[in-house]
Amino acid sequence: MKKSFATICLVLLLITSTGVNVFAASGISADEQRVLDALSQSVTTQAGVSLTLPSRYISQAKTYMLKDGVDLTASQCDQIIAKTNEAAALIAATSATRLLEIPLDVQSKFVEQAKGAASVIGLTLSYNATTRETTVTDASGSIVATSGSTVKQTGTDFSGTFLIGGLLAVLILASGVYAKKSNLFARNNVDLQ
Amino acid sequence: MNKRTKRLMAYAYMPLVFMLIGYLTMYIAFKPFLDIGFSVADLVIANREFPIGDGLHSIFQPVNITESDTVPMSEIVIPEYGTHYAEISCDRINLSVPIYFGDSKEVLRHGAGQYMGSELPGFGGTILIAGHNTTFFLPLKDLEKGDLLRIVTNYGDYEYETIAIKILDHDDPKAFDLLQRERELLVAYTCYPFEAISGVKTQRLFVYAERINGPDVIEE
Repeated sequence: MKKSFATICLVLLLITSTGVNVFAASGISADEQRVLDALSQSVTTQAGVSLTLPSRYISQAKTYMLKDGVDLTASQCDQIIAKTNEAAALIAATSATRLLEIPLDVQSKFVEQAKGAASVIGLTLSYNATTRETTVTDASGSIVATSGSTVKQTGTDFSGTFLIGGLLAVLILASGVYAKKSNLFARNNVDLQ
Repeated sequence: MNKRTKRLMAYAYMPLVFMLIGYLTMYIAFKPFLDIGFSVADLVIANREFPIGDGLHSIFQPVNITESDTVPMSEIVIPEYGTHYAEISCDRINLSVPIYFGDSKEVLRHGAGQYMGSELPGFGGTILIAGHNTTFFLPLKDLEKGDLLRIVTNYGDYEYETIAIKILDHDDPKAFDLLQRERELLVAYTCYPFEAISGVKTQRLFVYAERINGPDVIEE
């Protein structure tokens, strides 16, 4: 479910990225701002709950729009906003009280949209099962957005060390018990005599 | 293949299997220490030439920094993911670390990583930067309110005054606001506590510093 939720968020981001690069970067244009506003809008579901896209996805979209060579035309922005509204309508039709509760069939529609949107400008959406992160990359392979958590793990994770240490301790203990039950220690003493 | 041949083969492959299991076990057990070792090596070899591997590269060349109060946006290159584009420092606590755009595990092995959904210096928003607590951001434990943090980029020299230091859960929604535009706020964080040897750490030390110097990036 978490994977699908992350994918949905990235889909919305991808939709915002379907413009063809026309001019050099010059900040966020008024049209691009309309897209960001559309992304920031809240959606009221059938359950009467208001849902919004997490801010980290909007900020990643904004960063992408700032890049050199990424400028969306007015018509592109119109198309993007229309797609965003369609996506919002899909969510509004559900009775979800949280983004995580959006039904799988609705999530699938988002994914299909994402793939289509990505192929238009050479963006690729991929899911890493190990890290459980969905990543959007451009034609050059550079990362445009990720669904990973905003705050990262910045300390050394000793979980693996503890696990191996624990397993070795259990193994040694089990070996000792087995050896004792099998009279291996006693037999060695007899041999020494 | 008869039984005797199979038995002879076992003399060959069984040691290999056990050797591989042994190496794998040692790798998993000692990987955290290896990571620390490589990061420390990165700290020591600070002046090497780029590219540095792991798909990272550098555009950092602070040679023509403007002295004016503003920088046109057209003169700024938004860095690609994994690009070394700035340096963060604080003389009092002996902090001097490269900043990369992006904060993947690979990036954090080589320096501090900026969340790509946060603003660049000079843009007037929130700058979110992460660093490992055993190496690059270890000096943050000695940081105090009022200390000055400096970020040097290709286009400007920025100074930030530390206004608060907080210990919060990693998923605390009140820790920062990526969309705020009221002031330019540097938010640097690292895992907390510093000394504890544990599994995944859930707390973070957040440093909040407000910009007091440096050019604004403006749209022409």
